[in-house]
Amino acid sequence: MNQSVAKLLRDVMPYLGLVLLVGYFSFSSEFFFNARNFERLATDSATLMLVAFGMTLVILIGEIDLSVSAVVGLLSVVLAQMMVAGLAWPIAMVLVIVLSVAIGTMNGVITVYGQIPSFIVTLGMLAIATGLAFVFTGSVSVAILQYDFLDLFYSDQIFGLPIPLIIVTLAFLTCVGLLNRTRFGRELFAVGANMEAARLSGVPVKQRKVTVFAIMGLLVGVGAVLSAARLGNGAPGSSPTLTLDAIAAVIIGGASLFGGWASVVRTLLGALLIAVLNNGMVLLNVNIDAQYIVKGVIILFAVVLERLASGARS
Amino acid sequence: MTSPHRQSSLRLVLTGITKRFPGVTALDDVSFDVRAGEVHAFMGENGAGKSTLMKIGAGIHKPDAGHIEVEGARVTLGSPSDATDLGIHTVFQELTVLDNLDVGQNILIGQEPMRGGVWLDRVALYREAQAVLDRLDIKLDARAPIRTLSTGQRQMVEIARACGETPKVLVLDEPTSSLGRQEEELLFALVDRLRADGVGIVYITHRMSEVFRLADRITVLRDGKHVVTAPRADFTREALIAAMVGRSVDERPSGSAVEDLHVALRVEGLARGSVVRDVSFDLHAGEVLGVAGLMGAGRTELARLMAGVDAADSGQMHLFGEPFAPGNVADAIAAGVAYLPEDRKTQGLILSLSVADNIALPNLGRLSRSGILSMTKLRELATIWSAKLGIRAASPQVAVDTLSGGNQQKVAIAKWLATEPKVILLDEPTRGVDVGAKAEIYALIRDLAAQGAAVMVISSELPEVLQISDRIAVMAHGRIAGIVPAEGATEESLLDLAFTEVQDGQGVAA
Amino acid sequence: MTRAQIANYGIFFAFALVVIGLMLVSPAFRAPENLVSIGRQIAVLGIASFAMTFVILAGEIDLSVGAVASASGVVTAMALAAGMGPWAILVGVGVGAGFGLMNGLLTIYAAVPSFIATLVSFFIAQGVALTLTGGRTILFDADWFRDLFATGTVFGLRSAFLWLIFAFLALWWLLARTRFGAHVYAIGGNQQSARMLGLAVDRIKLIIFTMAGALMGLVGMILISRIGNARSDGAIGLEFDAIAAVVIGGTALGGGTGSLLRSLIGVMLIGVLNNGLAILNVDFNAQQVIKGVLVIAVVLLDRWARGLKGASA
Repeated sequence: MNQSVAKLLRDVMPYLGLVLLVGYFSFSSEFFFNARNFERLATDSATLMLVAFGMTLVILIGEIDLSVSAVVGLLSVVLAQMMVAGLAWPIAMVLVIVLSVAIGTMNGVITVYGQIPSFIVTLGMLAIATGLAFVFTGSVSVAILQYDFLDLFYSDQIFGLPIPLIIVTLAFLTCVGLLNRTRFGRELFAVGANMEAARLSGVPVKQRKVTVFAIMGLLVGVGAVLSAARLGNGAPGSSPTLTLDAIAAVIIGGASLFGGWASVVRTLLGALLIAVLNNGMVLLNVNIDAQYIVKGVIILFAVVLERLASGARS
Repeated sequence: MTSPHRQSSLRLVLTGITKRFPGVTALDDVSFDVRAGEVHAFMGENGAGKSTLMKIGAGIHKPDAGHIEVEGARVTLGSPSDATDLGIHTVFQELTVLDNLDVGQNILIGQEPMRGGVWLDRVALYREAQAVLDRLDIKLDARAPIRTLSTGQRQMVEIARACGETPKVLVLDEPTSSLGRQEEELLFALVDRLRADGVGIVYITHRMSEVFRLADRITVLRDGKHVVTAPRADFTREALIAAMVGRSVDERPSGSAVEDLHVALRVEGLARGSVVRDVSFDLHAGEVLGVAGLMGAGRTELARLMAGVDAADSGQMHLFGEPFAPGNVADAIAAGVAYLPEDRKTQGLILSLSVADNIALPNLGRLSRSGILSMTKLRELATIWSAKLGIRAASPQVAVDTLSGGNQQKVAIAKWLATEPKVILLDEPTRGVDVGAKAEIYALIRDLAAQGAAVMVISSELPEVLQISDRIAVMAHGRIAGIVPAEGATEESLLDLAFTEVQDGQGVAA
Repeated sequence: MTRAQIANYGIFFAFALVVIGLMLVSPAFRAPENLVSIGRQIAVLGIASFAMTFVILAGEIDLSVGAVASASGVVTAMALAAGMGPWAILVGVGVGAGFGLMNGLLTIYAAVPSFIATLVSFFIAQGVALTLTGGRTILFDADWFRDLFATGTVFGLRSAFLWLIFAFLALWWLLARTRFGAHVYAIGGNQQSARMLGLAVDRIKLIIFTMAGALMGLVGMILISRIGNARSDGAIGLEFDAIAAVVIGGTALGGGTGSLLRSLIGVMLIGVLNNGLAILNVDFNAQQVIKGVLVIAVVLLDRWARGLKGASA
């Protein structure tokens, strides 16, 4: 395929895919195209959105985080257990987010200062978090019975908007601003494209990378809180496809697989596409397991397109 | 030492070779041949097209026009293995010795002896490899791990690999660039032996002495075009230089020979490992200090210590009288010291980012308030410096990798000038740029000094060092072998210093 | 010990230490029949680790190992249940090799980093296994098949164990005693140089990925033979255990140095550890945690022993 054609396709695909999917689901399910379903879609996909924004930064600097599903599982379990133990929900919530930032920072510190590929480090973290989550629960889900907490995130509204939607919007605007309008953001592009050149230009590469992993931790932490509130419990395997979905969103958004280019705006499109897919497949009663294949093939397509567009040999 | 030229035994003939890369014609209708039992030296300034031609001979690049004959038969070199199958072996300046393997495995890689077609015959492997080493009189153990060898020894392994079966053509790309003098002599002896064996040797080098020591014939390239091919005896040193340069070397612009220059950066006893050893000198405001020396003399390493890229083991620096000990590049930038790295593609620039982003990168601190960037200031900075350096780009928003080499280099320099440095260290500032851009960069360097900046220029091109410097420091084996005024210095006098021998591992007095 | 010695021989000491420690603490561990059962338990991990050794030596990674083994197992079980007989073996190996081929093509010809390419295969293979089973357990009735891959005995040795031995010998020969093997090291040492030297870098990598996939087919068949049925999550997390075994054995991430023997020792260490922890009544999930910590610790130790580069920020 011609490189410029591939470029065009890569740039158009998220929009086109989204339009086609929305069109298809509107046509084939009477429950799809209405405000109520869209609200559900937005709140259901809040965790995915937050994690995908974080994953954008991680992939931008040429790294990856494979531990998010497991960490969200662990955090939801810890949150639920703390509430069961009688801790007030605001405190439990803050503690869980702090824990998540600590886990993210640890991923970053080991990757950067230990010079170990992040896919190994986060795979290790995946094993640790999965194991710990099961150890804490004995393999059963832990119900959350503090209704203030559940209501806050999934009944209450501000200006008629569900709170998860507001959080996602704020996170989105912050990430967009961070990447495009701050010193930190511009430096991340440099770090991802060429670490050595960035270092020689005075960018503190290692600190920047660790900070990105910490931000990822923050977003994963908030995402875990929203996920626990939505499900009303903490369970080790509560979001099995989260890692897949987040990476898919970033790659559909056309991020460079080697780092150096990514866009939160385009990730949002990718995440919306995945969210619509998740929602629509449920409405159409598609076997939930088939989504792995569907999403896997979508990533496959996006990955090859990205490589063609960036002129890799074919 | 003219060996007989047997016209009949043409080994490799390249005819009418043209090679274009985006934006540049690297080779324009170049023809070239090498005969059995001769050393054909290949000369030209950086960017003359030597390495492109060599890569075409090695099957790495395909020519856009022209054809290649090996022993009279028209061939296509589609891959490196096509070339080696035909007996054309190339020893690149960048060694391809695999340092996770041992000497024998490297020498016979791809030709490992087999038993019964399926078993690797390890005994035979070391025996055969040792035989190759012995035949070439290279004193190495075939079982020695590569990581225990010196650079010179690794190069011998590389040559031994090319000579496992006596090659028809052996291409040596600046083989002495990282060798000590003794290792050089070993290499010359090896080249003589291979010539006697009837190998056609293409010898690419920058060094006059080697050419006159080894070559039977000499070909000069300039700006991708063939200039002259003739027996060595037809050349004098001056004629050769004239052919390479293609013009009489410009008179040195009168330096700002201000008498009472004050010290901008004082370096005392700076050292790092064995690459930079006890270096002391003063860099004055308003002067251009050229730094010459052979590859591996420690010039780049010294500049990196001065710019906070690497940490020094010992020694100290004073910047305008204040202690200066940068812990990282950001410290150096803040103190007014800028360092342009030698390789703009991997170190100096971020090719995928725009001109504006590249120029802004070391200046982001100044362009932001509590971390928030002023996009207006960023654009202004890029526009101002693009204009000042005459960067030819459609807009500051285009990616740097779409620019020509000369313009890329100007962006790399612009980003550092934009930091408004008091001391600027330029490492090979004109490498791989065309003649026009070179002249502009020279003028820029003089301007900087005239405006009072302290400028240090590392260059491997002696004419360049002589042309732009007020004083010249020559490094050898990690030390400063001498600092001389540019007035009155010659290439010979500088090379003489560069070849200063290290005694008892202690080195020379500065 | 010097850093280099720790990097080279640390694994042997660690292994001896763990075995001796467990023998002293637990009579059940030192029972002969337990040692036999360890041998049987490590067959799956062993073959997966051998495949992973080739991939890592060549400077790549394969994250699809567990999912592909599960998918192959499921497909084979269905083929057996459908009465395909011996053809089922071909199907199982074919599914594995197909995923491996995809990994190779994506990594080599589309220049996708292998951790992304194999992650894609991981998701697709997992989807295939989940969709085909629909969460059910696939039963099949083929004793000959189970005997062939796991339960049969020759000279008192279980066939699963024999497969492990056979795979080790064949792959050891391939890696240590053929030109192909020598070139795997060369590629891992410096891919650019290997290419310049005219080695068939792309073809060798493609073979490695495809072979790893085919071996996952074998692993899948051993897995379903051992328990007599197939589940979608049969080999879940196998990629991590395999990477752990390879890395603990001392084969360097990034390629070029290591050996199959080292991986075998890594496998035995993990096998003994799993077995010992189970005997000592340590929860399975806690074992996962221990392994996760262990891998990161070992890689860090390895980096330390080789000397960290670039100390300054």
